[in-house]
Amino acid sequence: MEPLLAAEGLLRRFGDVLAVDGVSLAVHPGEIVGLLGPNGAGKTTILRMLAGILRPTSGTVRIHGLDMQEAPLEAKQRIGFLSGDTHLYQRLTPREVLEYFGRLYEVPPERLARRIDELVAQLEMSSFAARPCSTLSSGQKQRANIARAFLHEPTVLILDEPTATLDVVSGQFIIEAIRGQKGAGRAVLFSTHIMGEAEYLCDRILLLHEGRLLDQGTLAELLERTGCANLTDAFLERIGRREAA
Amino acid sequence: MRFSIVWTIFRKELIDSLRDRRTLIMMVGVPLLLYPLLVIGAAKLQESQSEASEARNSKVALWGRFPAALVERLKAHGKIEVYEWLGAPSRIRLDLEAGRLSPPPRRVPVAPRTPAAEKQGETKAPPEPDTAVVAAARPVILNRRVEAVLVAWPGLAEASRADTLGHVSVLYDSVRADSRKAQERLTEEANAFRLGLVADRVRARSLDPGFATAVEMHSQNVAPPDRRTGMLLGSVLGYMLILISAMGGFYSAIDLTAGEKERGTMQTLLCAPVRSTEIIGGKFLAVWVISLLATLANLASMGATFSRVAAFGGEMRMTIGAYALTLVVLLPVSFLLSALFLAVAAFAKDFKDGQNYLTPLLMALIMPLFVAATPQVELNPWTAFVPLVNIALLIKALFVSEAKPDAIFLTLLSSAAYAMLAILLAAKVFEREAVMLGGRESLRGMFTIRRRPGETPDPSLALLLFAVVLVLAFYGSLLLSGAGTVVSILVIQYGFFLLPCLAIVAGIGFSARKTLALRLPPWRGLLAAVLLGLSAWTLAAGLLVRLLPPPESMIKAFEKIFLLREETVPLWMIWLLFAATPGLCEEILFRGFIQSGLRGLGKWPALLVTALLFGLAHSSIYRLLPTMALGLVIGYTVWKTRSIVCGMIIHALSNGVALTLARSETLVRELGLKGVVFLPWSITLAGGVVVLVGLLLLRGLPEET
Repeated sequence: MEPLLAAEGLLRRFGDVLAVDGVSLAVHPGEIVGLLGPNGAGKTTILRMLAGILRPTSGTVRIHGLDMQEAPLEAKQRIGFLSGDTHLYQRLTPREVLEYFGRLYEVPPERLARRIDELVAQLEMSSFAARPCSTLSSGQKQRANIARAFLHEPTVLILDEPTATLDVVSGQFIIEAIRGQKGAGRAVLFSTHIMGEAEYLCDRILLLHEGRLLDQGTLAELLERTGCANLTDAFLERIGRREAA
Repeated sequence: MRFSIVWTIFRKELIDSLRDRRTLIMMVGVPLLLYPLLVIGAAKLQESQSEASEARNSKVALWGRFPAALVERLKAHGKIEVYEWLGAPSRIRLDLEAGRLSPPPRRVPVAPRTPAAEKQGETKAPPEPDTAVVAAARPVILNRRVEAVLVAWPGLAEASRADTLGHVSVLYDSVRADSRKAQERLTEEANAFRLGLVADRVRARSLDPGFATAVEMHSQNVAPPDRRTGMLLGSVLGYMLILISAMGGFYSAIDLTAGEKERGTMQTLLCAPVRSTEIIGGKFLAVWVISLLATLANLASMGATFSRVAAFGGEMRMTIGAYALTLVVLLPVSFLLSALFLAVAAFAKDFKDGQNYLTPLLMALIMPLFVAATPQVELNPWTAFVPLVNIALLIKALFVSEAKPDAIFLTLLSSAAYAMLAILLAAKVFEREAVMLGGRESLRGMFTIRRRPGETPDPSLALLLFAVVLVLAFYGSLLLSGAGTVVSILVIQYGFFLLPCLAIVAGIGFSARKTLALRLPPWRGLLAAVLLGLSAWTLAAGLLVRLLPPPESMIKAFEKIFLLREETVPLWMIWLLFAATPGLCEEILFRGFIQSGLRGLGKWPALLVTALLFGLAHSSIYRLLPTMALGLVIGYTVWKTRSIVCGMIIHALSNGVALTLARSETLVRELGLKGVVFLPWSITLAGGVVVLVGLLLLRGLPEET
């Protein structure tokens, strides 16, 4: 099966700093892949390059086989991007935000109205959908953000620590919403530094450190290779082994 | 660029901005309060101050021996309280009474009047001498014991009786309104006393009443009230309106760029399938509209305030047309400022950072506008290309009804060119991902020129080159006006038109063949070019010139520029200078570089925009239509034949034939054109048929893709 999201030899420099060093990855339909790494490992930079927000210094990104450099609009049309620090327009209501992005994604008007109603119901947003975003709690804002990312029914979801700023209840709601996308045949790439989330959600896990992929595989494969009992230990083991080398 | 996406972004940004209180206050709140407070408030304050000053008595000290009649007159005034010798030091009193003090010498100009000073009506008077009397009176006035001191110099009383000259001084403090009022009242009374004395003397000698006056001068202001108000308002309001227009866009420009980064919403927008040009397009439109709304609110508030003042008999009457024209000329200003503010604010990381960036920029832009408020500075070819100052001067000229069509055209043209540069800069900034994601970007990185071997220019580079060439060529031609026509034409054509094109093509490594259409034309194209070159000018001279005929002064100026009355200049020289040279240089620039740069816009937009720029480059509203039409014909020919040679042939032939005809009296006579203003319809029609044949020949050529 062809991957919906594929990256080959991604490299990104910021001046003299090498933030991402030759990362290749692929995510297939119906698969949730976790990108794990400590702060500064290069997760956000990789996800921004995959989402077409940041140009790689070298390497390619393909979404549905479309090259991000050659056909950025068509590729972005198929992506839903969400990060923990993605914010909403404070002076607009969630419904207005969704209408705005629906038009940017060129969703036909009738379908857009129907889709917004669906998402408002599905993500339990009806109590705050008509209130300015500045008056919403963090959890409510992130639900509105999830709705924005899912609005145009993308086949690829790129999620950068989407629960980072949320409490347990809101975080769990978001996690379940992401889990629901797997059944819809979407390819989900999900970065986190919360090991429990990765263990619960991901079909495969990529371990990232200092801009490089250290290891990848299913949870069972990683545990077996490291001889550890849980993902946290496996991750530390991998980093430790690399540092020792 | 998808205009539906630009419109979506614009609508959202406008709604978002209008929900921001800061924008609303700057846009509507400030103008609603500013003008009533400034104009009505200031007028009321002045009125009440003047009433209060009129109602108060002036307390004055009299030092010296005065004629009894003058003292009586002062005492009878009703508003003057007289205190003889109040505050006078005893030594001064003794000296005045003993006649030991003399009046200050008569004041005469110190230096001979220079022609420049003469022109401005200046006379240089020596400073007031600080005599013992002045030194003694100063503390008395400054300590407010009296408002003024009237000094009768020794001999005044005797002089008034003996028909000789007496001296009086009024000492006062110009800073205090009550002291100025006392001076005014004392001067008035002393003058009335003097005139009475003169009349008595004339009567006593049975002289004619005109003996002492000799000549009575009358001067009358012929400026109608509108003009007087216009001068007053135009000087101040040009500056004020530009400032207000800038302030209207100031906060929204920061809010839509740095504010968006600060709130973390820029990334949300960047992950959507939109181009950077669509983002800048939508944001720019929003800032521009807000700036325009602020300008409109200001003009409306200003109009309402001034009409109210006029209703109360004040001199603030202006026509609605002046306000409407002011709004029109402010369009490019708000365009320029909005684009510039967006470009600069995009570098800021947050709102505060944005304010730090934009405040000095605003100050730098606004400061030179003070120059426009000075009466000596007027709109002329030099000032018409100075950004912002030209608009302030144009507003001043509009308010006194002195703006000429060509001056308006040049000002709007240059402002549009600067606005275009600003929007190109903004578009360039928005392409930089580091800037958009809140990172730092060096200016060097921004403006690094990347070599693009084998490619052709893009629309932004074509427009950038046009704007730069336009400004350079305009000031170049002004600077070279003293160097003679030949030098001026050669430097402008080769130095300002041809050289930058070739330098950019070589520097960036563009394909010269594709960019400048350096190909040999097909024979049909060649034939069409010759036919069009021989005939296209007839449509311009016979049809388009009728729509907006140039003034006589302009025709005379052209005769001089094109050396038409210089019998010693051979015809081949005229062809070389005004036909072959522009045929080569202007074609390489317009149909070569600019048209190939605009090719990405599509066939007709590229042809129309190139023709418009070609017309605008001729820097005259009267030449705009003819040159635009000719530009369109040449552009179409080059597009169809893919050869700049055809463009050069049409341009050179068109100029050459028209000038040969204009120069040759024999030809003019033979064609029956002696004394005609426009080309006759018969020749125009014949020319039109040949143009049609030329275009039909081109139609059969394969279309360029």
